[in-house]
Amino acid sequence: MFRALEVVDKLFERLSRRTAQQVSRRNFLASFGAALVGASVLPVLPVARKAQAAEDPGMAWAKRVGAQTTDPKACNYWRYCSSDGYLCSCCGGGPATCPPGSSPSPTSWVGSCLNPDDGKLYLIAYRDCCGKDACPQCNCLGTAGEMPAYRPQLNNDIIWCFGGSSMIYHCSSAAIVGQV
Amino acid sequence: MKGFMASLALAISFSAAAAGVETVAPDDVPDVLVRTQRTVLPKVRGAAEDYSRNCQGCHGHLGHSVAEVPRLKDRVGLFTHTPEGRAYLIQVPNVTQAMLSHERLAAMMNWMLEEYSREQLAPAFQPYTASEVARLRADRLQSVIARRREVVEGLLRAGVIADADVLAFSLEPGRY
Repeated sequence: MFRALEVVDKLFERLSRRTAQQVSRRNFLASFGAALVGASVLPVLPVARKAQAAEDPGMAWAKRVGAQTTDPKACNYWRYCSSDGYLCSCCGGGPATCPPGSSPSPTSWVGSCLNPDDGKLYLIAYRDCCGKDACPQCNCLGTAGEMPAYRPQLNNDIIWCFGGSSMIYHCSSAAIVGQV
Repeated sequence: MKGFMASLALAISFSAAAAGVETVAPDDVPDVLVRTQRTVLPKVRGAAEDYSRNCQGCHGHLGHSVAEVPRLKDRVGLFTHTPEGRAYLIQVPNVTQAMLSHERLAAMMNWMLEEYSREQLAPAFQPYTASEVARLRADRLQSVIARRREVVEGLLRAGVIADADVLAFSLEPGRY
């Protein structure tokens, strides 16, 4: 019994000594680390999605204008990649809230913008605020992913007050729908 | 070693992101949440993303919105009870002309029917296939209003619906 254990012991000793001689510590740690990370990261990195996301017009816009996440009163605020019109943020509302006296359109069109903080794409609903005269502040024009007016459901020249109680355009808001 | 530490840190942050993770409602999420707390928003992917990008703006994320837009919720599945109704759902203009391949359009429609109208689906409903969608898309409707009326009358005759207003085009009775 003791003998058998001794044999196993010897075997492992020889194996680990040989490994220690042939493989550097750095090498071992690197491959061990790579295996560890590889195992946790691989399932969340579908290559096809990456390739698809790389072509997204929202990404190109974010690079071109230097999209930021701190000032929703500036045209290069990240959610405005497809926003056309006056920013509700400059009219007493927020990026996704209507100024007092106006109400959000029940319909919108949906595009996607890159959030530079986490490098992810978010679906954005471009929903106008309606029922009050136009607020001529912060006129911005983003056209990422926009289609010509013959595809009105993906066009931002349309007044998106359709279906609401008033067709009077006040300003443009950009609400997050979800993360792609 | 530096490489290893970096990889280890990455591994730890990944598991933290997976475990951490407050899921919040989207809409007006403050950016600081995304930046500092790794807030995770609902993922919209695959057929749900195709619905979001192509249909949701008007039909709504709950499958209903305003009187001018036909409601999907709790009724669109009724169309699957006849072959004409099944075809109509693909041939209606903004479906047939959606910027989606036949495969993705089939997947989106199957998802949409399950999501918004599972209870109304025909008992033997078979999901759309890419080849069926391709065939139906090649056959263009000349008059969508007239075809809708024929389809709804067919569903009435088949006893699927008792009243045409159930499938009124808008929420106004009498228009279908």
